[in-house]
Amino acid sequence: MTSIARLSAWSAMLSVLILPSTAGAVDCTELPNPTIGVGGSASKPLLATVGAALAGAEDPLTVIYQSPGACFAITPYVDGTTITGTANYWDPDGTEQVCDLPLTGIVPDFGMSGVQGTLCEGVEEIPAGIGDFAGPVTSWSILVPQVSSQTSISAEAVYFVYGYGATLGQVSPWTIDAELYSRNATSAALIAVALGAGIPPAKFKGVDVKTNQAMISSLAMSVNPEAAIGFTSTEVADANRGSVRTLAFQATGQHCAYWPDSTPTGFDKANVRDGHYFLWSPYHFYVPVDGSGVIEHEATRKFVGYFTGAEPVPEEIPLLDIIIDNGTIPQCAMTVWRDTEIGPLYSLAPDAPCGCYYEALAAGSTSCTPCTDDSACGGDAPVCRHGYCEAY
Amino acid sequence: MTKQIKSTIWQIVFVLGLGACGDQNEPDDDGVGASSSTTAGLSGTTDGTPDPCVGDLGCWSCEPALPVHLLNRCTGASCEPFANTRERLPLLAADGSLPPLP
Repeated sequence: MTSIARLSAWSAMLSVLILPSTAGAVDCTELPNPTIGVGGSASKPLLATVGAALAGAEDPLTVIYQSPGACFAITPYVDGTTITGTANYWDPDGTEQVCDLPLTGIVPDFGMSGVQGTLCEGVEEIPAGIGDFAGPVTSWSILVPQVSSQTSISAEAVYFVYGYGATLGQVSPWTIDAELYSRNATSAALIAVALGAGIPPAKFKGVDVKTNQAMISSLAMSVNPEAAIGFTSTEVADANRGSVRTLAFQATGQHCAYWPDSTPTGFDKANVRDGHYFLWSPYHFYVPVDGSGVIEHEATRKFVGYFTGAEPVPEEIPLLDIIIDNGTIPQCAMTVWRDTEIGPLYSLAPDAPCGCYYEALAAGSTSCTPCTDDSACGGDAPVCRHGYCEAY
Repeated sequence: MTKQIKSTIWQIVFVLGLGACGDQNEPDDDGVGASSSTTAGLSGTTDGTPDPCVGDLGCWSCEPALPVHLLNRCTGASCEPFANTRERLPLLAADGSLPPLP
């Protein structure tokens, strides 16, 4: 064997030994019309369902996503770090698959975060050339095990529990440090809860369980369930109601604590939508744009545009239903908004309200009048939208 | 849901709140422990006359003009007051404010 051939053989052998066990997984960049994103895990369930639908479309688009944390949605555009390793994509039947990102790394086509990127460490401002597009709304749940007797908490209580630590905070029953479950400062959930309680994220206490699923299992398997407390996105909490329960939250200046839904066991998200439940955020899409603010990458322009309304959604993609079924709230169902993360609220009149349809789908019923066109509507609700009479 | 039912619900909530908050500090104009500029008072006008927009049960019944009105707007939704008292929050300052974090 020549020296070159020996070198090649050794290289091949070493590459098999060194490369991750996904050798044989597809190259992410070679999937059909890929859009490769990075960000938090809170949005992954939504992206999974949307990704499956888009993969099965007549003109397929492949959503590929890596979820190391919400702040990673913006930091690549700030400090130039690329993403490497593996990412997930979804078959039309919803099966999650793994693909390989280039070994040398790539700049992501988009970032997706449950909080504003400027709340992340090292991010003073959104860089020029990066657009910030608002997606649907997620809410944040402070959780206890299902067997806990606790039902509510206030921003002030969260301040002491997570700002001082469980033992020092002295807020019974959450006084055991080992039962104070948390995330790290790249987590959108942590940033949102910290803002809601007035705690700088860097001072937020608790045991970092690293993932949403670990948060659920830590609470569910707690040996001191009455003392255990944690938090996740409400979508994750709702999917695990057998194990955990969302506490009603009383914001600063609020006279009562409210659940995200109008009742503790409902799914209508009425209190998020009308502002009574304070802990919510729109998802942010961070995307490279041209000088006119238009997304340059075609597949990403379509993908993000479907959420923002800038691109017509293919008829075969029931995006509104997907968003609602996931427990996320489309902007058309909101009647309040805010311009700063977990900041002051103001009334919102969405361009084409869909609150009635949201209730019908999410909660299974609505008091709105069903309709097929405007002739069935009148009075205070004269306009037929998505099969229900809306105010305008 | 009728106003009467909503009113009844608020009465129940108010009574439960009073029961749970026996020694609760009455909120000042900015709310308990507030440090936010969004917490304008709901508890009455500055000259002490009853505010027609604040019902007997403390919720805001008029069109919201401030963020705090949206938070406290009258609703048929379930809620449960959390007692921000020094009994429940021992580190709360005597005036109801939050001490600095360690």
